[in-house]
Amino acid sequence: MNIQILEQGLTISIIGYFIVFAILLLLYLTFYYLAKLIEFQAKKRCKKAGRKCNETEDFIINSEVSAAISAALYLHFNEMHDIESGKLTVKTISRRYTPWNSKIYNIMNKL
Amino acid sequence: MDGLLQFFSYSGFANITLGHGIMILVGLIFIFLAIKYNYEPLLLVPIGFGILIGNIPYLQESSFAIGVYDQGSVLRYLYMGVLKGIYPPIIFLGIGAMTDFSTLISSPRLMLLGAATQVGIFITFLGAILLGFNLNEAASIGIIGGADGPTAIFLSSKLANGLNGNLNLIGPIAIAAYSYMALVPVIQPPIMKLLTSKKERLIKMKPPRSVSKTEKILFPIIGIILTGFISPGALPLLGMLFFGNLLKESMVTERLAETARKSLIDIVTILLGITVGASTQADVFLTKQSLLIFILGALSFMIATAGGILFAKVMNIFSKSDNKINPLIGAAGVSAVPDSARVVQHEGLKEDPSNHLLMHAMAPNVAGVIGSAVAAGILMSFLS
Repeated sequence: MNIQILEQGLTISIIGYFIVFAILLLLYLTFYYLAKLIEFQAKKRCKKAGRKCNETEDFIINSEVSAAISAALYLHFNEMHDIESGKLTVKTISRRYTPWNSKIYNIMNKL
Repeated sequence: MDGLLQFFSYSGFANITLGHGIMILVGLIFIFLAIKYNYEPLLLVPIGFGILIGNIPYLQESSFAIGVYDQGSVLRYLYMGVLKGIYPPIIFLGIGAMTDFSTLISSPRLMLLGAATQVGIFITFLGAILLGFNLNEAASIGIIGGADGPTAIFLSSKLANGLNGNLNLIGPIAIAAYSYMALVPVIQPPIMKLLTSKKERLIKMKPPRSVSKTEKILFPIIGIILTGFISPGALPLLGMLFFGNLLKESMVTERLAETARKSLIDIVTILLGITVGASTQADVFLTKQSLLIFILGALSFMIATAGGILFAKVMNIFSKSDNKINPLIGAAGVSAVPDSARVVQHEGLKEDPSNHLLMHAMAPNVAGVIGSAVAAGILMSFLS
């Protein structure tokens, strides 16, 4: 094993890991202060409008309620079909065939 | 009779070797795991079937263009998407269009967990160098620890593609990455138990606050500007990820978002799975290097998981008593979306049936996707 390659690898690892951390730390700080800024702006707006600032406070749902809502939505979207009878029926349709109207049945996709 | 013998000499029965048999068995195991145990079926079924396609033996001296390594074959053209790194960014587009970053935006400190888990990539990178791989190959192996299949394929297609004196490791790396992603429910729980106390596993986290539409729209825009400027190598992946997310969150491009998260990602997943599977021809795949890659890949996953959990514990030292982090969610920092988050939820519920950690775990989980793509970009800019 080449010591020089290992040294290079070590340098890349340390710098690389530092950059990954730095980028995500920067994103963290940006969104931490962005949230504060948005909250501040909202409070300023509602103060100007003469409303109570409580209206802009976070609406927190506890985890049990969220789980129940998720389960209900899942059931709603994934089990939309009710139980069907499974019986097949044939509906007879009588119509008079003439050379004049036969094509129009096909064009209009009528039974 | 001669014609019959000639026909037989071209058939798979006349050309089969032990290696082909082993690989066909591996393909069948993948399909079995996917269908019987539901382990990542959307990936393991195409890859498993691809392994079968790639390992049906045929006369190598024939002029047929059949396998992914034969010039002019159909499979070769489809494999170009892997070789040229086309498929992974498209998959990232779909992931962006289906991912909700709300929990991450509401608790941005959890992004650091997604960074901490990337330790697996860099330690494995060093481990691979110690085992004799060159820098480019070692970086491609290390990225398995990011637990992100498309990222692993993207980086290996750039650094370990069989060109410029590097080995072609795309097949083994992709198979190792996807295998370990499928095995997340097996690999992670013992490490989670080992590194946390019962008291820590019982921590209930504060529910995430609701996130405004403005924040959701700003996230992909600020995200791409910050990450892109610092690590341009990650642009193909992160550009598409954040673009997909903007399509979703802007609410004015619903049709495009719908296509990206459904049809487009499905088409590319099929092509990627089948061609990566087909690239595991026994003579290319069954080597000492592949075995080492599998060992390093497993270690990488374990180190990444441990890194996330331990960092969550460190963060708890500096957190207020009413705002502690359940260290289990640190394990979700390895991408493997959403499997590792599901594992966290499952382990949390085992300790306390009323402690739902899924929402919290999704934050480090998606941060891990960003982190591993950034790490890939950094490695690429250092080495390519």
